[in-house]
Amino acid sequence: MFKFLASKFIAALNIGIIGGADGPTAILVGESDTMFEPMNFVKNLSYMGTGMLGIFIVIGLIWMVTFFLNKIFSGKKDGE
Amino acid sequence: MEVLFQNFANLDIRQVIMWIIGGVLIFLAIKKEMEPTLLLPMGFGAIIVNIPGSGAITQYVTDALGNVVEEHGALSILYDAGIANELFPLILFIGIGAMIDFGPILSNPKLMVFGAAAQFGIFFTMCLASIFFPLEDAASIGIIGAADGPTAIVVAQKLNSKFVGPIMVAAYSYMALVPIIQPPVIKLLTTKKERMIRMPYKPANVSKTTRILFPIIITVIAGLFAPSSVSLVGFLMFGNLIRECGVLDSLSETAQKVLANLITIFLGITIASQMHYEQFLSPSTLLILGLGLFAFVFDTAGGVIFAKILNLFLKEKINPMIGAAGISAFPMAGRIVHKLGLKEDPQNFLLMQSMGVNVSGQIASVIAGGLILNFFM
Repeated sequence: MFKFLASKFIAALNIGIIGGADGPTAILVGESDTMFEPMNFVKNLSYMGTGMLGIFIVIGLIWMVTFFLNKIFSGKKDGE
Repeated sequence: MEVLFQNFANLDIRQVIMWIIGGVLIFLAIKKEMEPTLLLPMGFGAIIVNIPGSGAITQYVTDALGNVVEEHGALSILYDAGIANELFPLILFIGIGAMIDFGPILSNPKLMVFGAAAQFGIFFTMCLASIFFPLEDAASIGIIGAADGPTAIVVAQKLNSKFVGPIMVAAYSYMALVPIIQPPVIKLLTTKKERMIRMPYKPANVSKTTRILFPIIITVIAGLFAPSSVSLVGFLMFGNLIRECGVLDSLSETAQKVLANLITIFLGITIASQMHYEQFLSPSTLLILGLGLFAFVFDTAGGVIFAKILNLFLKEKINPMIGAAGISAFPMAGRIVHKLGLKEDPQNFLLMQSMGVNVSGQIASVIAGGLILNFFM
């Protein structure tokens, strides 16, 4: 029901632009790139999982490298 | 005499609306001092681009022989020269890298995880935006949450998003609005007791060798995981290497000041070439602006909630507000967290920790951009 109403709302926005009495604008808006597919949210959660895992892995690796850099080069002054 | 007034007949009410929007951006820049380096050129650019027949952008006119000819506008030329090929934001990253001091994060590297957590909003918004837009556009919209103009521009351009203009405007506008967006979210998610947690700063000695090796190693690691991010990470780290090497002081100063300011001038006014009313005033733009705000809110929430979850397992508690500093709006997010800490407890100095997290957020946001490019390229 919600998907039906939302898609009708978006269609209504596009139909309303006819009142602009401007053909090119009506075509531009009518070919609008918005859609309404709520299931895409669930389908694309895998990207969220992979992305966040990827960031944590890379940051974790950088953390480890920094830790070892500090250990190896610790106690040496910045001026050297 | 008619020739003087014929252009007035071409004026569209939507162009006037864009003048008002440009005026608002200029007002925010001057009166409220919100990111004036970007909002002022963008605001002024929005006005000049929306004058009928504006010579600032490419126009298609009919000559005396009835042929349609292209009259190139300066902003369109600049756009093709520096934004369509992602050059300007990458060069700006050299300047930004030269400005960043990684010392706070090098002396306390475990704070980097908050920079990672605060990128949650990017991916969450990408999933949400995919309800309304094709996935590549949704990813470009999600990257607004990187709170990093150059990353947003590079990702949107590389993914050939149709919404580069609104994405750029949203990214830079919301960066300016971080002092308004973040505090309510932080206060909603934390208790007064949590906001008063003190975090003593015990800096470790960071050697010059570490400071020099760090940008080189980061570039290699990030590049191996996300090769598409090499230009982003590489230019940022190159700027930092110029700063830290100690033998290129004049280049470092040039990168931080002259180069960064020069590119910022071109970037700000050229972004406005995408603010033509035909592209900008549409339901899609409003939706993108709303989703961009969402991205910032969920970035802040992601960092704060991650810190609260960690506190369940730690004996020495972390002030969860520093999670919010992981958003890449450098240095504003770090300063906001520090100010909020002082507001709750005038003796609670969180600046070094929050700036460390803020800096790690800069790195993490670039990595997030690279990972998103990896998904689709």
